[in-house]
Amino acid sequence: MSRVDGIDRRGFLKLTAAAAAAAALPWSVGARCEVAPAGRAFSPHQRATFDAIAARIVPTDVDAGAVEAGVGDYVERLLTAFEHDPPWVFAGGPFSGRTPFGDKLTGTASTRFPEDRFAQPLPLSRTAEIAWRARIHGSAHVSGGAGGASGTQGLRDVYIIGLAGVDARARELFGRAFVDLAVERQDRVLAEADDAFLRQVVEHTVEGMYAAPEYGGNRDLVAWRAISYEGDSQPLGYSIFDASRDAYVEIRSAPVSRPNPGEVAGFSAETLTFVSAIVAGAGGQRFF
Amino acid sequence: MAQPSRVPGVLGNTGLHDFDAIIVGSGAGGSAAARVLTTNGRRVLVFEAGDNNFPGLDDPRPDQPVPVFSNDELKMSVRGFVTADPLTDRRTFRPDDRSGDRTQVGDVNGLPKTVGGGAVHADMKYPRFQATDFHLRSLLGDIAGANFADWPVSYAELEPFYKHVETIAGVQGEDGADPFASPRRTRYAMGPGVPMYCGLVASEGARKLGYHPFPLPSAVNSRPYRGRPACVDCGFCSGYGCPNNSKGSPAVTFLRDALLTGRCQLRYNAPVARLLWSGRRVTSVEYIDPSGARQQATAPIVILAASPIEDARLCLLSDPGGGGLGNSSGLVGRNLMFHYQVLAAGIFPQRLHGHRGRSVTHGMTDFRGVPGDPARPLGGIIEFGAANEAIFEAKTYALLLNQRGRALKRLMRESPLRDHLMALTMQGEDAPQLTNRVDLDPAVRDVYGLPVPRITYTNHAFELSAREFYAPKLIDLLGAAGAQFAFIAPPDTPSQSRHIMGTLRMGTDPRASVCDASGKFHDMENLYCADGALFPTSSGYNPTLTIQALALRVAAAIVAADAPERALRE
Repeated sequence: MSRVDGIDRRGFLKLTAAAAAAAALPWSVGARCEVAPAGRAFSPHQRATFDAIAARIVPTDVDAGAVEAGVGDYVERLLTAFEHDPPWVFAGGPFSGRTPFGDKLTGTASTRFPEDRFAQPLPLSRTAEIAWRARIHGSAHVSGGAGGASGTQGLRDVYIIGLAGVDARARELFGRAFVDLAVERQDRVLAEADDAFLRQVVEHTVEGMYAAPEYGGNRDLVAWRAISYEGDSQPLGYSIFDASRDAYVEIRSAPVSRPNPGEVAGFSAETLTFVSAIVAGAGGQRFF
Repeated sequence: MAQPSRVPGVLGNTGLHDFDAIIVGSGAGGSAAARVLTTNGRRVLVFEAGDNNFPGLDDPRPDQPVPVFSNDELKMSVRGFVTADPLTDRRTFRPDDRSGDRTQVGDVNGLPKTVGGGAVHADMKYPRFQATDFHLRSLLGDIAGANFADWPVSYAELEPFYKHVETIAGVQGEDGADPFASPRRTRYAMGPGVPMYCGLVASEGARKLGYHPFPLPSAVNSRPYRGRPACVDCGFCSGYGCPNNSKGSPAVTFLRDALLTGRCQLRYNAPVARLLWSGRRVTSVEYIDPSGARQQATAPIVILAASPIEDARLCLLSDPGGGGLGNSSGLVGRNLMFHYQVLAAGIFPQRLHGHRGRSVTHGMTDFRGVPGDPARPLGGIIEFGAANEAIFEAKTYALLLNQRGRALKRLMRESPLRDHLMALTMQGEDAPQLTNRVDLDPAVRDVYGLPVPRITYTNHAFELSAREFYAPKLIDLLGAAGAQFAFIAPPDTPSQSRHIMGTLRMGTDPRASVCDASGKFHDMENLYCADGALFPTSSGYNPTLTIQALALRVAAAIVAADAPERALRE
């Protein structure tokens, strides 16, 4: 069986078929996402270290990994949220502009697109600002006392300390900075890294992968495309109520009430093994 | 004609200075009460602790409001956009009072804290309770350790109010499809919307086993209705505010109607800190304005509708050192109930694409049970749902199951725990217990400096045994539907059911209840409750429709005590 980067050929074909199906959706083709450049929270070395860690969590293989998706930009945008006004915590709404309005007269997508309200963050209330300043900068930076938020270490400190810790471990074990190690040695350093910090990086890495691109990651929707996930769908959605026929029309390539067209059901052998183990551990049942 | 407010922190008529009633909370109950009172000529001042995310809610133009909600998992689910923030609005929890002062601090069954209240994030399933739900004490008799009580109102008495909610909110459903439903004298406002594939697959399995699946009644537009568009099945429904107002959320129905009468003023980012009172009368309401300063407002009548935990907390905050306002019974805060949710997960060979559709379209009430029948213990409605969140899925693989690198990517592509996942949820009825309650935490404070609510909660054998009984049947249902794998998810402790009831139970005996059959506190002349705190029992159905119907009845009785139904205006 021919192999493509560790995935067997049948799996690769399934992948590309899925990617092609996803690419046929109206909002993934030629998606233009004008995203303002993130503020900088890291030095170049810190950013390179972060990217190297993230690449071990979500590597590049047949499709984009964390680095191509811009997960580092996601994190830096969060850590510099308060350099923006309003602070970059919650993207606006209701629509991103990636999908058009539905046309009730034809039961298809119209050519009218709403403006991109995701591109600007929403103002924070007084108490929301207290909570997020505490989360990002630490409760010591919140004037007038943080009330219920006291005692919180800010994410900016967590990252500076955590990244330095990873480098310290790398030098201790192998005499070099983390970014200069081969991936097998990087994995060994991470296995010994501070568990709480690594878990935070994992959490932010997957957030940066699979959030809307306006938050800094998921650049050009690469992560959503890779998993056949349409992401935000409003205002078009998946059904249009056609008043003239008093009936719904569903998006044929992405139906609500029917199976996906042309789908090949089932899992790879590795995934089946994995799921079997999880289900057995949960005391569940396998039917076939 | 109503003019939109131009004052920050205020919606509605900023020119009103004298009010007939103050309502604490702008959620399901508060919105319903506001609409009844204002459409009957009363001037109402509503306080909302949270922010407003419906700009233009008070703007009469047909394209308003334009919500800031969006199909954004990071915003709504991960960063908790409308949820009470666990840092600033923390709560505490302990299973019982032998566990010390508290065992957990943070989010304890928190609801959205925002204009529109808890219902903002609901997918708006709106079934009615069954007639038997209103007198379970009479039907079940004594159950050791449980504190069931009959409601002082019957299904028949509540029916006109159910009908009114269903009309104003716009509830879709299939007439006659639920063989266990109590008789309805009205048809649904519209037929069911687009069925989700996962609902159809589950329904086939249910039918094979002899059950009776049907499209669940929901306050979601299956067609344009009362000026709001039809749902587009965008997939970000349960847990999300609606970007296009096709969900008949209390905010864009009852509350908006109240604001547009010109007789309603809503102050938001304005939590109520305590009620000031003398003898049997509440004299004024003290609130915290958006800048953090304390202010007061007064009206002849005050109605609590801030959700049960916050209502009880407010009564306790209003009588420091005493037993709590309105608490001669000792029951303020007690008989707190959640729903014991049983979640059965199935993994199917085909993709179920639960991220398209309004979260849940089908279910069944076969497991609600029959009071007193040991072969059919009281469980709850079953919802046939699926999964829709990619970040949550990734965290499950990466953090819970320790998958990294290529393995993580493979799992995300193949998506066994999202795109192939079906979730059957039973809304199991919780038995009321005196010991399950809300009080004020002795040490922990919130961002306003107020003592936070402490929840003491342990499940009763009543709901634990219902779970034992029905969980295997849910597994069988998944198998009959074609699942390759099925398992029961471990329960959350504390509960995160987002269904909260009890704490100010209504009843005819002032020694055994806090409020009377009209929702008025027994101890107070001018203080009412109009939300789920009134519920003596929790039933096995989504509570919000019944919350609204009961709130309508409380407000209608204030307006027209002899014939409350006459106060209902379309």
